[in-house]
Amino acid sequence: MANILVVDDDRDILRLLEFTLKRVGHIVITAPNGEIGLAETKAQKPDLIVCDIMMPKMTGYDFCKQVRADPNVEHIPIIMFSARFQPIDKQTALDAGATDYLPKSTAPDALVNRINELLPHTSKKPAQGTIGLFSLRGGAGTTSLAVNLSIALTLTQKTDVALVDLAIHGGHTAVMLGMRPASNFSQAATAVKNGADPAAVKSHFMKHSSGIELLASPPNFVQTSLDNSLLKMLNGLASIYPITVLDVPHILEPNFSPILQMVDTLILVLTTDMPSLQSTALALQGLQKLGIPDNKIELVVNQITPANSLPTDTIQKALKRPIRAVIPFEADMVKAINSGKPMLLIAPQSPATAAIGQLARTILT
Amino acid sequence: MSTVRRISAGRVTADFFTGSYRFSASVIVYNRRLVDVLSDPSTDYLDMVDIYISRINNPGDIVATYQSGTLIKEAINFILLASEAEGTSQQRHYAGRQNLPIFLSIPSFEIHGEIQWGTKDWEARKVLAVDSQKFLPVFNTTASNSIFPEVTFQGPIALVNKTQIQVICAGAAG
Repeated sequence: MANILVVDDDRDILRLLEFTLKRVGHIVITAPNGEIGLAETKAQKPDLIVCDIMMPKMTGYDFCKQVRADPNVEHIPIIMFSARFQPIDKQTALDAGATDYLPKSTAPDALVNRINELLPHTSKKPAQGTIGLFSLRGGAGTTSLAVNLSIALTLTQKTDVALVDLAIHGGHTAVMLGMRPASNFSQAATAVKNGADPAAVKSHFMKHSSGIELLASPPNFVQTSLDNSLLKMLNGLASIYPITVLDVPHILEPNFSPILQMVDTLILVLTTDMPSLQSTALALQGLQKLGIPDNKIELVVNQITPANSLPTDTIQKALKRPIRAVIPFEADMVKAINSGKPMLLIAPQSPATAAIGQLARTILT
Repeated sequence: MSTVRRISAGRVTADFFTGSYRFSASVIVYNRRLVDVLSDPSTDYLDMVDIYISRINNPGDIVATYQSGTLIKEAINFILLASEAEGTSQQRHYAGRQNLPIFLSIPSFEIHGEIQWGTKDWEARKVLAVDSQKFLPVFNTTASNSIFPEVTFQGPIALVNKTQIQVICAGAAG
């Protein structure tokens, strides 16, 4: 799955390419002219751009030159896709900075193949690592983000992803995935304590249709101790799953420190309201006291309501650190949660899905 | 199947060449084919939309764009199309046809390609007769500019204005 921007003034072509590319699992952003295309390129930083040449106001050649002149987006592959099909048109496109040129007489499958060849991830080593998602304050959408990010990671990185719900009891990842797991992390940790090997630990996971594997939290109230066996179990996951996502409970205590220490990236989730900002500032202080390296922490704003009271600039200034990603409000999120079908799967074309997909592609790099 | 077949209903995009310019533009043809629109005797003009103009000495460079414009059919040298279907008439031909190599000279251009010839004996007069079709379909076309020989255009089919043809030679070059 990749983020692809299609720039074309012909609505029929936009619709056709959107359909074709979504059918093979890509997220598609469309722009009806070069000016909007340029703005979308800077805002969304797509993985690849498909651009027409003959467009009013700004031709595809000019669009291409402007993208190549911007250091933030100059690396993005651009396929020029035009009804002009002469060899001189290809040469002019390449001179303007295009990565490749295809005439519009190209069959859709050939276009899709070329796009897949040019996508940046195809030449990279598969990503690996452990990602923790944390918010000191409940209600920030941390669990739903953990669920959707896990799915986006398995789709974008094309690798096995484990999602571990570390809520002490009654976590919601299983509900959000519409699953009824037979086991949980407490049982898996106990198995490790009793000498279970990685294969035995894997049996405590449950596979979701999206490809991710879930280790749920205990469904009922049980006495769960965060002892060494849990940490050992979590550390052992690296030998089974290239990527592990931890949905960390809203607790910031010293006995959680080893778990926070083991993650490669800690996503601190916040919403755009003052209490969340206060909690995040407090969490940053706490994480510092627990010795969590500052460069591991990434801020992600989850817009859980349509009206966002605090601008992202204000949040960045208040917390004195950049925001890694903003997940736009998605009206269907509650519906997705209630239906047990993750938003990433029921609304693949939504801006929120695009933002999560972009985060998944870049968070481990 | 090509990506852009005719998904824009009734609209054909092509390259229109005069002696000095290349116009990449679309023509609204409704339910007809472009070759039939060109041969429509009720008008001498061809209305175009989304026009991108290049000079013939630098045909990759777009020097101007217009949303609409009109081309005088008589001024067209030839038209290059990405699809054969648009360049052949909807009128059916039942006689057996064969491909015949051909060379044409028109103002500023020389064209190599093939024509489909249905009768046993080749007759230039019959090919050039401006009867029902004013434009001659030439397949597997290469058009070279006679002033700037490095400027060439290729396509599966060209529609050459019969009234612009100066010389026509058929058969393999000697």
